[in-house]
Amino acid sequence: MNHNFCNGCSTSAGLPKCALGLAPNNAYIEDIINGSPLFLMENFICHRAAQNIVEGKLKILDQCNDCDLCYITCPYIETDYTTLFSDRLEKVIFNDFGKASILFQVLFPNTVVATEVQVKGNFRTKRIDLVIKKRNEIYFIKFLKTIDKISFYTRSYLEVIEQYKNLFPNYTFKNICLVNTRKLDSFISVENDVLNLSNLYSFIGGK
Amino acid sequence: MALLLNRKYGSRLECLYYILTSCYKKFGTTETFALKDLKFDPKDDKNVHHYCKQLQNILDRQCCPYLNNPLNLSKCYATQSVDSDSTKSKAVSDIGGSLEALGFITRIDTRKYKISNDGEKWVKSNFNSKEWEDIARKGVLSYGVIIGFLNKIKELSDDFSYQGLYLSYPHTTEVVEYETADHTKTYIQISTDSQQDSNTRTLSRLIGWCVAVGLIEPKGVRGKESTLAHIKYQDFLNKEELTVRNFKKTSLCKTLFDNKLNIENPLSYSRLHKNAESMRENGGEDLRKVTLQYKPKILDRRFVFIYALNHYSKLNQSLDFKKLIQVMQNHSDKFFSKGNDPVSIMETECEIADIAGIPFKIEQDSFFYAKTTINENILTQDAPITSIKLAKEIIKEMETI
Repeated sequence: MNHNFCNGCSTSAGLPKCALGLAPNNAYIEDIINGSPLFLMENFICHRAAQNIVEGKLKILDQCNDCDLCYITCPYIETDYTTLFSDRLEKVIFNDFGKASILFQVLFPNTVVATEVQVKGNFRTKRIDLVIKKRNEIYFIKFLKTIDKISFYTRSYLEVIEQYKNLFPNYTFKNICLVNTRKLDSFISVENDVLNLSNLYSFIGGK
Repeated sequence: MALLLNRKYGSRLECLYYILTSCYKKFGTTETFALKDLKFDPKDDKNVHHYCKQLQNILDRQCCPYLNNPLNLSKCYATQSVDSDSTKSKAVSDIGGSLEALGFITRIDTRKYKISNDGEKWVKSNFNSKEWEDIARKGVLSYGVIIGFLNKIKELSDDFSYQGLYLSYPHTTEVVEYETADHTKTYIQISTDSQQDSNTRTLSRLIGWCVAVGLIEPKGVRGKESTLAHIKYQDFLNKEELTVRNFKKTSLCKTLFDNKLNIENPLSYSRLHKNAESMRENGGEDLRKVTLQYKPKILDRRFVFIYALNHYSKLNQSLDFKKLIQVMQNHSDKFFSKGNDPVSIMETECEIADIAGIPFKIEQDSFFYAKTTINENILTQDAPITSIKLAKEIIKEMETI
């Protein structure tokens, strides 16, 4: 990544979008579907504290590992995002759902993207890792690090979908397991999709 | 009451120190507090951020370096915040358990605590001092599970790896008949032991504490220039994860069992078995129900064993294990399930001694010489009167044989 990509921008208050993002957190699925106001959690964009703002310009420090997330979130840059879906970026979003949410907000504009979404009722999985609402399509995304849990989480998420399909019959629900590209080959695709970031981007229809 | 700590939150003594400091500033040693009072409260002018020296300045914001999202409203990874939801309460529960295990807070009743004299001394000591480390070491060595760990590594060479060590509840093979909800009779093996990830977390924590107080040293880690272990290895200790597998025993560690230790914070009665109520292992609901059904037997037989071992240890005598089992068999319905061999069960259950803080050596196959004594008040703190009476009865019967 070009560490000098920033030309500076004026932000009325606080930090620019390459440094700080907002992500809905701990909302209920009902709130997302009904369009209720959601609580927004602040998240630093950089997972390595490798940023400084000097005279309105982003300065990237030595500890940066080029995950490109700040570059992607800069609203003044137009780029082909698929070229930036690296192992480093995947690691970042797998370790931090807030950053995943911010990334997906950029990749899928005009959607609602929320993390750690709460489910009403008596479910073993009390939270959905990430939910994307695109018009009347609702995507439940499970971030999977290991293959041995796939059946467990697929079952859990499908149980939730069964409940919500009845409550919101005008919406379609889809369960997706998101995996790291390096591990994709070792995953067996069962009745629910197992995708990497690139596949997900195509599947949902990215910017 | 001490428990088997198996979560990450209280792994760093430095974090515990700052949290206890914050607690001391608010409550001193005379006022009681609840665990929820340890949670981070942004409105509190004595919250832990006022004392924590680990905060990172990120873009002009002071952040806990252990939070995945430094801007998370939890503010403190170890305690989480008063604004966090109930699923995060296990963090502060672990912090309370850690401070209690170290003897720095004492339980007044079920939900109330006070800072102890040792806790006050620790808070008042300077972090960069020998006094700090000495008090911390005293606390660490008062925790029964640490003694079990040190006993396990005693058998290893001076340079050792902790991989493969198991320091959790014994895995006892015990199969019982069970009737399922649809009235089908089946056989289930009771879940008596800990899961691997739980064991890993316990070991990580014990290793961190032992490094911090100079009992073991991480190999291949240079450290800062200091004679104090918690300063020398501060960067290592404050990493997010344990990255070293190989360690070296210090001379302090090697001579620890030269004299008989008295362990102030062994496991309490109710902590001699895992929390079966929250089991979520494969095998599901039936396994959980069966394990709960037999939990009183499991607890009582482990308790009686530890109680008896301690009784004889205090007298500088050995426990005749064969005799103990013989007597326990006379009360078989209280300790053992039908169709399972009491001898096999007890031969495994005696492994509880390590995490209970009373490891032993065996002579002539059957005579157990405990290497420590444990604080009986803590062991029996939450034991049913019937269990204590039973333990005393067993010992009395043993004396008549």
